[in-house]
Amino acid sequence: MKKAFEVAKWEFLQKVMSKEFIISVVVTPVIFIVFSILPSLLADNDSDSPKAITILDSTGLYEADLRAELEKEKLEDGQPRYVIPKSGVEQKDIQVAKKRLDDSVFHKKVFEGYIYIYEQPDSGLQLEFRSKSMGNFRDLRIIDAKFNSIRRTKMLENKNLEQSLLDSLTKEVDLRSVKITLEGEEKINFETQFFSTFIVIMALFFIIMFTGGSLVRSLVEEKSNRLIEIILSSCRPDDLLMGKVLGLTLLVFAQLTIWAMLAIAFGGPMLASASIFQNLHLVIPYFMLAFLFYVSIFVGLGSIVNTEQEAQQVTTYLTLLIIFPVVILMPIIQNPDQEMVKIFAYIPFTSPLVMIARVNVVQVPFYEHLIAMGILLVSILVVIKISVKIFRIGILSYGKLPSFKELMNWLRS
Amino acid sequence: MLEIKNIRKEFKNVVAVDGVSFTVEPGKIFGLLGPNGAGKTTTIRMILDIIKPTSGEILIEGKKPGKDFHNLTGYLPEERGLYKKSTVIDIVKYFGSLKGMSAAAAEMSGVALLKQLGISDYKKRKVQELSKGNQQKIQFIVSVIHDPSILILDEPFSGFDPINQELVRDEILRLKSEGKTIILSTHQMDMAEKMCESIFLINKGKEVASGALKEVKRKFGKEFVKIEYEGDAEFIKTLPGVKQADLYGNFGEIEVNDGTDPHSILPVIFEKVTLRKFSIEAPTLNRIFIDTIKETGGE
Repeated sequence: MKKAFEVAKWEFLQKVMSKEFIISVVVTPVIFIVFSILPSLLADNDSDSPKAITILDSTGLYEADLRAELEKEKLEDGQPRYVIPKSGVEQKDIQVAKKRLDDSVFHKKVFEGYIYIYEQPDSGLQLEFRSKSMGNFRDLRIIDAKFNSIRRTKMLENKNLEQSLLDSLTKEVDLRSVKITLEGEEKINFETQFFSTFIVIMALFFIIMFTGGSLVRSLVEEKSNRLIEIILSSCRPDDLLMGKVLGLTLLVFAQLTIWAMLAIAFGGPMLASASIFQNLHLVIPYFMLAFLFYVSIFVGLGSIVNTEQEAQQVTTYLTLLIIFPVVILMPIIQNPDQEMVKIFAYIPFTSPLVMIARVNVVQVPFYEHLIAMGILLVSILVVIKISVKIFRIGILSYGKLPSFKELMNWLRS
Repeated sequence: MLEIKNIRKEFKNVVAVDGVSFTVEPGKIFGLLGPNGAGKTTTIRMILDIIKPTSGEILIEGKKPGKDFHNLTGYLPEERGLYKKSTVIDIVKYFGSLKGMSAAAAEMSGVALLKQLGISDYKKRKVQELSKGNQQKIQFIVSVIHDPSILILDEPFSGFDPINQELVRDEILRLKSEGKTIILSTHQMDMAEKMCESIFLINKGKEVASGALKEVKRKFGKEFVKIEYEGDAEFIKTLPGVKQADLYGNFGEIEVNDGTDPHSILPVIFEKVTLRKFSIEAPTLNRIFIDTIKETGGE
């Protein structure tokens, strides 16, 4: 046991000071930040200055009200969201004005866009927001809501309804998504949920890939230069295997700690609201179990390969297995309680990452955690047992990769 | 003291080592010799407790392998290699600690050995910055850092230039004088002949010859005639009393039949070629190795 500790210490210290580790610690978060922030920055192209738009109303009924309502909209810094000069267009000049506005908007002369209200003989009242691009998602929503509210109010005004009834009829009710949990309720925002879960799962995926790969490479190095013989004349293969797994686990803890500190330093309060951080008490055990599970497989398979190429082959297959939950992440978050998802939550290969995804969107019953973790623990023990058997023989055999039949023989011996 | 008692190792379809027994006394160098694939490495791995024998037993200082058994043995494998990106002292300390030493003890012993082998300056260097010869020295240090009572050296001289070969030889002799039990596995028969007290010759997993070097030579080797000459000496092969002759053009080794006096062929040869040297030589280990391995159907 003392020797396993010596191996762990060596593996940890040598790797933690290596260039590869430093690069992975620094570069991975940068990649994630770029990948996660860039798309939302691009999608949510919300300008921080007021937009100049105008209203071209061929019915002549809505312009004033709509302008008044839209001018109430403020940006985050308190500036008005829209600047809407009166169009001052006479009814008979509408078509000419439209042409002129189209041209102006297209060349971005004055307005970024304009609202065009007109009557279509067969389909009734029409509302358009005409701009050079498709239009900002949020602008469209605001204009849509305001216009319809005004239109409803106008129609009801003529019916001599009581003011209170009128108010309640025209009041907009927003749809909010609320997640029910044991502790109470919490509002959720799908995008935040998805991205925070996605980032964490991708990060865990990268950690497992990185450490697994470096484990296999170090085994190949030790085998090819026969250091393994000196090591095995100093300690038992079980000590070596345990030491390596332990050393790598420490390494991953170091990596996670550094990341956690960076995350707190740069985005503490913002991150705290993401539910993935509120579920750390579940995320961490699942991650550690996943890590142990995969590293145990890596160490067993790593012991049979002799060259970098073979190592590449073996890790590629494992990567496919690990990346599977990432691929099905979207459906999991949308339907966390679907039967199929529940099945994946119990299969050791997918279970940890699927569970991490699920706990963010639903309250998973305690017994399900119990079963999933139980299955994982048992599988880890089985995998370690198998890996140790393969390791003891594989680490000393050179030449071509053993066939499946030979592996089976090793397991029986 | 190392005692090997009738060990046998079977792999799936192969018997790699079959009924091998020998004893190595402390303060002696023991030669484990044999062609490639003879079972040397398997035997060494069993002594090092890397693999277990199928049957038979191995005793070090009268004890069976158990806890801390590994700390008694040191091993220099034939193929060399180290962690290229680590520093010399880190590696030396790591292997010391794997042999049960404390970090401080390993560092002290490592520094002393680096000094003895004349490479103190490289203590903090990375292995990849060292010359091949110096890397080999580090490897040698790694195998003896913990002052093992049993030391197994597989081709310890390969990869060293003549000067460093001497350095390593002196180091081995020093360990011998300290009473270590040393096993030398090599193909360099002249080295084995010069350094070993006893040998064990193995082929196809079985003993071919073993015992004190003198005994083995007496038992297996035959005296032979060595000549240096000028002229055509082909006729020697057909001389009566000559069993076989290896001729190299101006140098030859002649083996005579049992009961033939080697001196009796001298006059005949003297007559036909210009003879510069004629001597009767004791058998070399190299000759014995080649002859016995051929007899037992080796390479």
